[in-house]
Amino acid sequence: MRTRMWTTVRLALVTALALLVLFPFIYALLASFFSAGDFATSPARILPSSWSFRNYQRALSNRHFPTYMLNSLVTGVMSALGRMVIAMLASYALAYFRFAGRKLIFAILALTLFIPGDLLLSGNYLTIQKLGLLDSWLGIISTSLVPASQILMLRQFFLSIPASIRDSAAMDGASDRRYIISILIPISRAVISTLLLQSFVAMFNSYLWPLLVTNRTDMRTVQIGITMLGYAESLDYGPIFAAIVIVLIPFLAVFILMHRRIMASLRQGYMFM
Amino acid sequence: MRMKRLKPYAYLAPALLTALVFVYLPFLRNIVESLFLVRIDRSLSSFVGLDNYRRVLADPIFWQSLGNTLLFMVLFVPLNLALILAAVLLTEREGRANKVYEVIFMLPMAMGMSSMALIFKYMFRPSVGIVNRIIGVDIPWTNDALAAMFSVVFLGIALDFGLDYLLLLSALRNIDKAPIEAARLDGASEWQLFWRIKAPLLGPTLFFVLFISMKDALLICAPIMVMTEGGPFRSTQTIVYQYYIEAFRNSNWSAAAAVSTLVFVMAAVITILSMRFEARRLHYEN
Repeated sequence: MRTRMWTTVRLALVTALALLVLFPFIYALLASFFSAGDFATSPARILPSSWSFRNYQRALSNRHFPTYMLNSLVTGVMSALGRMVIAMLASYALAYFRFAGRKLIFAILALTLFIPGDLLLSGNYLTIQKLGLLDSWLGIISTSLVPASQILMLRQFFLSIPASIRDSAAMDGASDRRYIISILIPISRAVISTLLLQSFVAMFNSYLWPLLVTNRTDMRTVQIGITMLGYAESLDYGPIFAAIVIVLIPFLAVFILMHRRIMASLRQGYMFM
Repeated sequence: MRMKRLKPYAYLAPALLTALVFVYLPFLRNIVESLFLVRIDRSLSSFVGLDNYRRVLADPIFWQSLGNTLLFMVLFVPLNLALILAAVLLTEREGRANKVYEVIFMLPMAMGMSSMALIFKYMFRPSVGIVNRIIGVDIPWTNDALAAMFSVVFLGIALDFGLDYLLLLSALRNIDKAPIEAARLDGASEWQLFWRIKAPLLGPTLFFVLFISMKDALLICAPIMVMTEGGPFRSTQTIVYQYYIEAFRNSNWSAAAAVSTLVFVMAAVITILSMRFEARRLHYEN
């Protein structure tokens, strides 16, 4: 009797909490159908006055929106791949070679995790400015290439691979490149894909740095573009919410599909730090 | 042979280069700029010792921003931890029944920061906002300092929720179940189970999340830029926001460098404290 009551209470609590967490998502979805008038109604509307896709049409036909999306996709992919290549090479060296200064180099790389990036904005801005990389994809991804957290996880993973695999590959005369491409990458597939997703999401969703290093509208990424869609003056927020939903949907899909893998990677302790 | 010995350095070169150029160089630049007068074009003009720090520490806006940041921290850290703990404990058992909730609780990770901040901005409008309508109140979210602070605290929780939830959930599911089952057989209540067994075993991860959220609170800036722009009347302007304004709005690079160096020190203190706790725990367990 007591356990059944607890089950009911538990279910009520967890459902309430889930609704609270989902609330911004639900509101964004509903508001994406609001007309300009719906936003100004007092007391506030919960449901839109009509279910028309006009806001979606307006967001998608905004002449900058495709450019914003392109910039975000390109920089997301560039950042994820670039960071992965840099991290793979470094982790490979740290896991498989003995050399003078190994500990020092590892410390130099790991210590970067303790220096908050948002406090380096002014210094990094100067560097990018001097390199002439303002308003460029390279400038946008530059600071995201520092691979410390990925090196920590990849090195750990590489060390867990039995030495016999490496030895037999070496005996067969496999070069470093061959070993990395035909053995290391296939074995580490799960870790690598999780880390790639993580880097892509981080770059795609980042805000402050891409905002600083871009001035031209055609170099803006979508998370910045959304805030500047340019309807706010007229209190006509509908297209902004439509754009938020459009950008969100693929990410929701990926996270739901990857749910099992994310849980598994957490169990093995190599995710999202 | 010599080529072979150089190999690991070649493999490490790109990683070291990014770390030096994008972390250590700007870090040192910050410290240098905080000790010099810096011209608008970023060239160094003259060495002034600690004058920049003196000027910053005499600026009431610095103290106001620091106070706002501490208030944010005091509200955010416990509320965040309580909500995440609740979510984690309610979905503790692995299985079909909890799967939907697991997915829901990690979903905030899928939303971009600026999207979430915009949504919150519109949800928390005073007379025409959905939040006031649903809880049936008339809180002046954008005009009252404390109400505005609460609204950005809620935003901060929404932004961190997914990741913190996953961290604590995996920690809870990985703890040894035997003592819990034994205690349950002996008739321990859920309440006792939590405080006597789960909480101590979760301790390290709880502290980890606690310190991470303290650091997040100290460094929060961008979400507030989007949601309140620091208003009303600077009441939600945090210390890192103050750094950003000194640097990129006022081009007062000396002041910006001094503020950010001070925040570095505070972040370092939080990090060192967290490692002290970690060390003590290890000592205790051995």
